[in-house]
Amino acid sequence: MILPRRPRLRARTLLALGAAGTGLALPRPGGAQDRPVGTAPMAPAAMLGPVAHAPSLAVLGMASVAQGSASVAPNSDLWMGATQPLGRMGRVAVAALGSGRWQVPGGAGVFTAAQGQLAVRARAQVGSSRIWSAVGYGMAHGNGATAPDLLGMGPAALGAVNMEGADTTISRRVDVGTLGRAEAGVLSRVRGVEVAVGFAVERATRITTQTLTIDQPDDASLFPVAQPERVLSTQTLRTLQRRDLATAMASLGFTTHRTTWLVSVTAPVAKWITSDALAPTPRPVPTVASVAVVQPVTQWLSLVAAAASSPVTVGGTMLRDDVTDGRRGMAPVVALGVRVARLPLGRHADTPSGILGFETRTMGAVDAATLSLGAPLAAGTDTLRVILLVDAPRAESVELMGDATEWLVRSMQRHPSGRWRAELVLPPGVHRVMIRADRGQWVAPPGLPLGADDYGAPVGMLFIDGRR
Amino acid sequence: MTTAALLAALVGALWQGPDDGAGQPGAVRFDPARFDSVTAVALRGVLDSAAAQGLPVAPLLNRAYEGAARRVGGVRLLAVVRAQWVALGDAREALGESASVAELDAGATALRAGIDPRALQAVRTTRPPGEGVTALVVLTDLVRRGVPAATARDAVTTLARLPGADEALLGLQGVVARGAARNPDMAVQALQRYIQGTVPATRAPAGGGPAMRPPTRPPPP
Repeated sequence: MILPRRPRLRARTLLALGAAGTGLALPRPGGAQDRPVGTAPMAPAAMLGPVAHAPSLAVLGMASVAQGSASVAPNSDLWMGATQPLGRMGRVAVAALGSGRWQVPGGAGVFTAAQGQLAVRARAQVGSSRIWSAVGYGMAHGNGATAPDLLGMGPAALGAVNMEGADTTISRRVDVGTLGRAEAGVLSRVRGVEVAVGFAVERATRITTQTLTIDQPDDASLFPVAQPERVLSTQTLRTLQRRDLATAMASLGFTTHRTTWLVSVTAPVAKWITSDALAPTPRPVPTVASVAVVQPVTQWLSLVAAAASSPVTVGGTMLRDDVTDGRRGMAPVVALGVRVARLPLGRHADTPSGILGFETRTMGAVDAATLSLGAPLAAGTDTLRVILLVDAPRAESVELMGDATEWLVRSMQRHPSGRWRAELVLPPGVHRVMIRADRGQWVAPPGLPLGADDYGAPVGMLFIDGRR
Repeated sequence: MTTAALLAALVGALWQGPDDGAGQPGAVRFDPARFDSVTAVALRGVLDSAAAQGLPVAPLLNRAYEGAARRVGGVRLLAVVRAQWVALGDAREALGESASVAELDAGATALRAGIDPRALQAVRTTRPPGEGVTALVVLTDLVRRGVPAATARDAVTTLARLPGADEALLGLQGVVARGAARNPDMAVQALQRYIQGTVPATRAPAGGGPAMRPPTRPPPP
């Protein structure tokens, strides 16, 4: 009995066969191993804060110029932020965001502050736009002391006290605050620029405990003297302030080469302040303009720089009403830091956050592509089932088009691993293909050889070799 | 239905099209409804002419579909298809009548990337008929990533003679792609390092293997 000879199929792709020397994947038919291929571009993130994809950590050092007459020294802050994707519920991606800020003590009027915030944020693709919503909760603690107390001197030692009356000095001030915040917005891409608008409401509650040092003549003296002795005493004053604030936000995000830029404006819309009579008087929250730049260094490390017209939105607003001056408006703050992405905590879709307090993210970034070759479509043919996997964990949708689809747009399916999958039926030959994420720009799948860009953008080349 | 749509439908109904394996997996069928009527008629002429010359029609039709998908104008679309048609003819001339459709397509793409037809002939001599696609595609990719054409040709023809040539060629492509991604000037350096590490003859100083052409920079504008 002579069995029909099954053709020995040599199927390969340009992408796959480069594994040995290039780090490209070498998926074989039936193989279970798929690895990212190619030199993946650094996923851009239009945020100063946590990176816009995968678990990430950002550390920034910030310095603000002295502002207003009340400040005696510039502020120096250390800010950290992290993002951890939690998963997806249907089309909705959920992530946990955390940030912390520590105000470095310095200068004569030392005031240290630390605060932390946790938030849960959800986003979803709706049409060609993306909507997001988030709720967060934070706590802050500030501890300040006036110069005389720090120097071990009482008010009387300053030489400027009124010897006839009483002098009262705030020798210590402790602020404890909480912040609840909810925000929502929509993000769209217009001619390559991400345009985002949002709205946020927050309620900050602050309890201020002030220690008053009172220096007064000793009226209890039994013998009248020319210079009565003075007595130092302390009192504690506790005040409550609650502030409800509504802000509107708008931003433009774009990428030049590999550098990502974000220009944003945050403006107060309405505020309601309830204070005890003796509570510190809050000043108006100014409109804040900021610009942030993210420059990738490696695939996992980026340099971050930013400047803002006021530190109000930098690091939160819980305890910052003492440094804002709405009439002046300008209190520049600059920040420099690094952002570490691709932490070994798994790779998921996520949602960014940032010290600018405003979400935006660059859509359309595709990190890498992988190919797997399946079995021949039918015995005796060279036509293969080819699995194209695209690594775009931040994307809400990924589509492809190419020779295999007669250049009709086909949606890719999201794989549980976070990759996007499409099955193509390809005969031997060279096949051109392009992909796009979130209806952004069409790009060649990273790692593929580039074909002629007849129409203005390079295409990826798939090669199926069906020699028998 | 508009006049243009009617005309396009008529073109599609009347034109039987060249027999390019319609109905087979991967076959490309002409759909005039995806073009405006003028473009569809002109495109039909190009496809008919290509088929009459024995050239493959599918690469041309794919270029046309690509243009339609990317919403370019009919004039530009036809210019690209005509250029590819001419390049297919030139590629067949360079690669010979025995060249496969995939080789012709890859060769045409190489020619349109500015590669000299003699480079295609050089590649042709290094690979058996029907097995030159990888070399041609890699050659095109190297040139597109900034490697001088002569240097790329020498590297490809050198690797194409090795056992396991396709794997070596694709390795070269990946290395150069990564180098070019870091810095365009590093593409040539990456190529040379890869050749030195892959081709035995280039490791020994007195080796008698094919000498690599030193990298040449294009003249300043």
